[in-house]
Amino acid sequence: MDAFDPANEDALKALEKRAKKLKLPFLRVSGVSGQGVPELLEAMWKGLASSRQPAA
Amino acid sequence: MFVDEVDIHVEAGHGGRGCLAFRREKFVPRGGPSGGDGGHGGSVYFVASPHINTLINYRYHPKSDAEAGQNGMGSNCTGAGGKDLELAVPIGTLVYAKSTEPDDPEHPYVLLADLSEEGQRVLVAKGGRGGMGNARFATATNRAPRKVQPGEDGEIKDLRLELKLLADVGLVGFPNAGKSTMIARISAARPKIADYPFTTLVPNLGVVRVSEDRSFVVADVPGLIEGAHRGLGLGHQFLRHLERTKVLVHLVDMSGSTGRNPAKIWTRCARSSSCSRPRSPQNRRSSSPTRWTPSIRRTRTR
Repeated sequence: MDAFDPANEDALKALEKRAKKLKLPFLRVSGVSGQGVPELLEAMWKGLASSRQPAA
Repeated sequence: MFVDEVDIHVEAGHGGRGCLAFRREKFVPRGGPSGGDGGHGGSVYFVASPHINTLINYRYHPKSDAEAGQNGMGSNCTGAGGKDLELAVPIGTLVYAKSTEPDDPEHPYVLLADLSEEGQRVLVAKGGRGGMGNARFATATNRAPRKVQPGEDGEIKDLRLELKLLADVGLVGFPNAGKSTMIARISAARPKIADYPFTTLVPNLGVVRVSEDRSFVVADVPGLIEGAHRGLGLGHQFLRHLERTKVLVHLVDMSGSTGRNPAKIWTRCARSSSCSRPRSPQNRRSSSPTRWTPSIRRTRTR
């Protein structure tokens, strides 16, 4: 969190916007502070669970 | 040391030679042929083992051969069969055999087996059949045959072993994006972490426990560079470990230390990782690692 450069806020928003456009979930996480990691793990698990479901 | 590709040479055992012998016993004149058959040669198998993580054993011992069958003996004794040779390889190993068509340089190897399940056992080189002893050639008109068969040669093969890690989730990103930091955070894996590109030189695996009954395996591969899908920066070697993953997590460094546009970084990285595995279903997500970063996930299922 502390390493995030506020000058990059625009780039971050642009990336987030792009992700939304592509209908991609977008998560802000930090490996150092652990911020957002639980959400990331849940998202990973959901992705895995959906890929494991047999095709109808 | 992590080794994920080796060339090895395997030889199955030769069959034993049939025996030429006649029964010689007191008060039994002309006892007839009694040469036993030779034993079969041992075959070479690969077995997927959960206790091995690398192919390093085969780098230092690239030649393996199974036991030959014992020759046949008198008194109709068949020679002992050679012991089969079982070579343990990590789960996720692909076995390729050198193509028999030398005029096909585009496909120098053909896939023999994919050892993706624990305990899976495949035959790669069959042992030679034992030869028949002279007792087998006795007929009504030739009751004392002097004919025997030599044992057949065992199969000889030049193989290439390739290890593709079996992970559920792959962490991808440019060098120094924080992939190792992330896997160290979410699992018990402790890869080397440092503030310079290409700190990670070999893939790392970690088991993530979301809760008591939910866990999965994450792979952290060395950083990708633009054009990795074309093999640049040893891209093919790293990317193949992602082929079996079901979810990809793209990590994008938002600290601005690289001076590059994060959106472009992600686009290039996604292109490199997706181009490498056009046939497999995949999910994609990008996230930020050591610092505040955005993460993106995209699911694409064929």
